[in-house]
Amino acid sequence: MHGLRSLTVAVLAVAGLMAALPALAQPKLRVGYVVVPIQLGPLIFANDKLTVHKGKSYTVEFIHFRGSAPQLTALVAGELEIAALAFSTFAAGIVNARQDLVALADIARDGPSFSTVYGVLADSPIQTIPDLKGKVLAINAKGGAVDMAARIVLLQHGLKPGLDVTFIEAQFGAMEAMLRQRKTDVATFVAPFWAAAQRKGGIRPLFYQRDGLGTTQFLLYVARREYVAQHRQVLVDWLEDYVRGTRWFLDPANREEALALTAAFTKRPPSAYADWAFLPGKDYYHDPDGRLDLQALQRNIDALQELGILRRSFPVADHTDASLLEAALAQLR
Amino acid sequence: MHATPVLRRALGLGVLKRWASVIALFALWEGVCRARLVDPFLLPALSEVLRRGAGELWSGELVAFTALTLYRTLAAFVLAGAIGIAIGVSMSLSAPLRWFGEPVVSFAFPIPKIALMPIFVLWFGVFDLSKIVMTTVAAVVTVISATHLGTRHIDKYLLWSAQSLGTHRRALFWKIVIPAALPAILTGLQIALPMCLIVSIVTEMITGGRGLGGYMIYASRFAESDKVFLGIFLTALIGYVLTEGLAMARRRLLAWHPEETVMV
Repeated sequence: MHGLRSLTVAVLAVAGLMAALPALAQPKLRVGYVVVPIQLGPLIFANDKLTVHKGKSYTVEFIHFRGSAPQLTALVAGELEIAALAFSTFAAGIVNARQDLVALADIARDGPSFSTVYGVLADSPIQTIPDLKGKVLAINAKGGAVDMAARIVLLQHGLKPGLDVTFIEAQFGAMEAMLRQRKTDVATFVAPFWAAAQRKGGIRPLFYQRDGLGTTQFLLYVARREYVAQHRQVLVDWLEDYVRGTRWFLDPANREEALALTAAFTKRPPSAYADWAFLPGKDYYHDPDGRLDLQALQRNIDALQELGILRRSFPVADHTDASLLEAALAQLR
Repeated sequence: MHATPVLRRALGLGVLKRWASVIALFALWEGVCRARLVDPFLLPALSEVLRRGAGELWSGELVAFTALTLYRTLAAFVLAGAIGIAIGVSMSLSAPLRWFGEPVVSFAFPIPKIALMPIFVLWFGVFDLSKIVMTTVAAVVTVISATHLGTRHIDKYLLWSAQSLGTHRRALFWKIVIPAALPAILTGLQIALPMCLIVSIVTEMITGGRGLGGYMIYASRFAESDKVFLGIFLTALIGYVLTEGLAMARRRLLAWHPEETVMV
């Protein structure tokens, strides 16, 4: 009797081990993210019906970060396999941190659809860019796309950023309150906060990020070249699932469900997203094939150098690998 | 055979002994980096940090940033000291103030006061004022607490002796209470000073702008880890100079006190 029980336990243990082995054998992709639904990845991979390879050729974990700079550190430390980097962090990682990084796919672009708004109070005396002389302009982070676009627009109108216009830093969430309390003359609004500000009214756009930078390839998925070389097929499978999911979220037929999934993920009401998320012109552009706009990315990185923010520029083609995405698209077809 | 005190002083052995642990730590840091045991982005070599420091000092920007952080730190420290000592002493002298103040101070002590920064930005703007007010608020509770404890727990024999000699109430306060409480007050100030430096830098990190905190955040954003470590190195250096300066002032102010006359 005792022998039979031991045998049963041993058989169950072996069966459990066999069941767990495939999961143990799959590489785990740890992917960074900052904000949902501007970044669709966490939503896509939280939904099993949108992924084919998840759980078969890889497992995935999305890790939240407050920005892209800490993701670069995590990537170098081997704590992340894929990082969601701003173009400026991607460039700084290559030029300043001397890391061999490879851009894999698009996350979001500013310009072709929504473009970040530089807003003023509706009753503000500021009507044109030259009216900004002697005023205060709030940006989210010095050296980022919002800062760069504002600098370029001011220079285009003969104003010296920092001298004629004072730049201050504030979090996007605090911008509207600061503007309404007149702590700043101009505040910058990304898509969700612009939609919220429009609901309340009393704020009008002065200019847009695209006025300074054109299209900005502002977020992109990045990995280390060494990792890409060692895990090619895993990344191809992951990208295939990513593109499939992106197309599903962008399909107007799925909008209600997409809003519900976003609300469930962020634990906020669907009404917080209803008037902007996944809507052309109201939300940031997501490429349905996940392709990067390499011309825009090159222009953005060149602008970093021209504004004296980055020591030198580099050919972005040297740090992209389109073959992975093309293979993923071929698999998808 | 041991070196004589004169010889030891001539060779600087005392200084070397005092700083041996720091020198060893720096040597280990440099060694680990030179051996390529860690990615230079995650930990740049000390020599790289110092080389970057020399270049940055030459440009003048870092000096201006350091001066700005020092200004905010010292302005907040002076305010926290003045307000904290005044409130702490008042609470000791007045029963109603003590009734009101003691629970408030106890309640405020464990609050992570830096969480108030976004509110202070809305109230006082993003420039110097919000940073100085935030730093003052963070440090003042320590000074109030130390001053209150110091002035409340004075050796009663001192007070009785002075009273028996006919010392007037006002003279009693200035000649007995304050000097007797001075060690506790100075301890409060010695804790508040590095706190002011830390909070000043954190406020600069949160709200951006110039100063050492802004310098480090900007460097971190652009993956310039040698500049981040330079900022940390400078902060440690400034903190050391400030705390040593205050310790020196304490030794002078308390030259008459047993803590300075009795060496343990």
